[in-house]
Amino acid sequence: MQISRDLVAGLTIAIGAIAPALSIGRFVAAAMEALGRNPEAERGISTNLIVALAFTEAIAIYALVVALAIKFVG
Amino acid sequence: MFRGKKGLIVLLLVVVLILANILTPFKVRQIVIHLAPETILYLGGFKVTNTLLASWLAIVILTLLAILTSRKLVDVPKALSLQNVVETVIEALYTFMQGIVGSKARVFFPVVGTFFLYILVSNWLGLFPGFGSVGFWEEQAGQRVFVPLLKSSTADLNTTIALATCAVISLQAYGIRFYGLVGYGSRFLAIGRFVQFFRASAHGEKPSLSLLFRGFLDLFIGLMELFEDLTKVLSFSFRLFGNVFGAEVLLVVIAFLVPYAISIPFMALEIFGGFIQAFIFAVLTTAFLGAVTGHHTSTETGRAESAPSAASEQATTPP
Repeated sequence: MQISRDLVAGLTIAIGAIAPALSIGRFVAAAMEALGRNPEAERGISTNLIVALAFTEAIAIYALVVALAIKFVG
Repeated sequence: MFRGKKGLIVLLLVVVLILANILTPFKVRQIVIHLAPETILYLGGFKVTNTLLASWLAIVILTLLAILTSRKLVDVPKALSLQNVVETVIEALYTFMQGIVGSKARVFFPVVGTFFLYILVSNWLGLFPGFGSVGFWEEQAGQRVFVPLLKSSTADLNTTIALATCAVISLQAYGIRFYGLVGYGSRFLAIGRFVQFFRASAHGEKPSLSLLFRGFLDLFIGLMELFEDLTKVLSFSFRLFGNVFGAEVLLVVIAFLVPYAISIPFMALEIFGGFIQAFIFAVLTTAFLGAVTGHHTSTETGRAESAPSAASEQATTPP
């Protein structure tokens, strides 16, 4: 029982982190490209980037919370 | 920095602490991680948890800081005086907010600044020595369980949900303040196009069906806006809780895996992470506040525009 719980918890965060990781990579790549093209717009780009990253990261955090709940609750 | 005698004393202290840690009889032998905070005492029927105690500590620290700073304010503070340091932090956040919402930063600053400072102090307090390590043993269901006296208050879902609820309620409050109850209510219950439709049909004109369709669409969008605000509570609270709690678990695991040395870079990482989380909470609150109080005018103008467009549609339909 304990082994299956650990397995499920590990799989939850492992699978749940895939999509946010890919999208964070795309966000940052696009932001870097925009910065390279237009360095004056750094302020606006970095603000929007941080906000967008926070949204994306939140999805990974949901997976983390669920994984922690599976591991430690009950 | 640590040269000569000073360095020797520090080195001796570290060695003594490590030896004491190895030889101590009170050693914690296995990792115990609780998702929920532990209750440490009861005030009447009120449970005081260790995270609640830590949040009281954070409040006391912030209040003391505010009192000490504002006791005697001068126009030109000295280079390393308390006033200068606090002013630097406040000013940095204020100019950053101005970059997002412009002149409205002055109105939003009290709410957002409070969130930022409270979350920052709570996150950094959780990294202090003594948090999670000073406590007492308790008998629970026949087992000896270690109950820490203090635990970072943002590593508790109750605290973060309370903060997120405050943030979303402040969104509504500022929306009502900027547009009035009726004007802001049209964000969730947009019946402007319905009113137009029925007014047109009451005047005996041939009502356009696209207006009715767009009215239904407005209602649906209002419903979506409502759900969006409800999910904001979830995403705000889970993001903060997950990050801070995950950081604590990481630090504990690392401390048991490779003691003393490897913990230090992770500590530095978590100092940075604690700041980033407080910053993200503040920035997101600011961005949402700006969205709630800003783009709302577009629906107002959109309604004003839709009246002539409906009239032109009627003009084009053959009599």
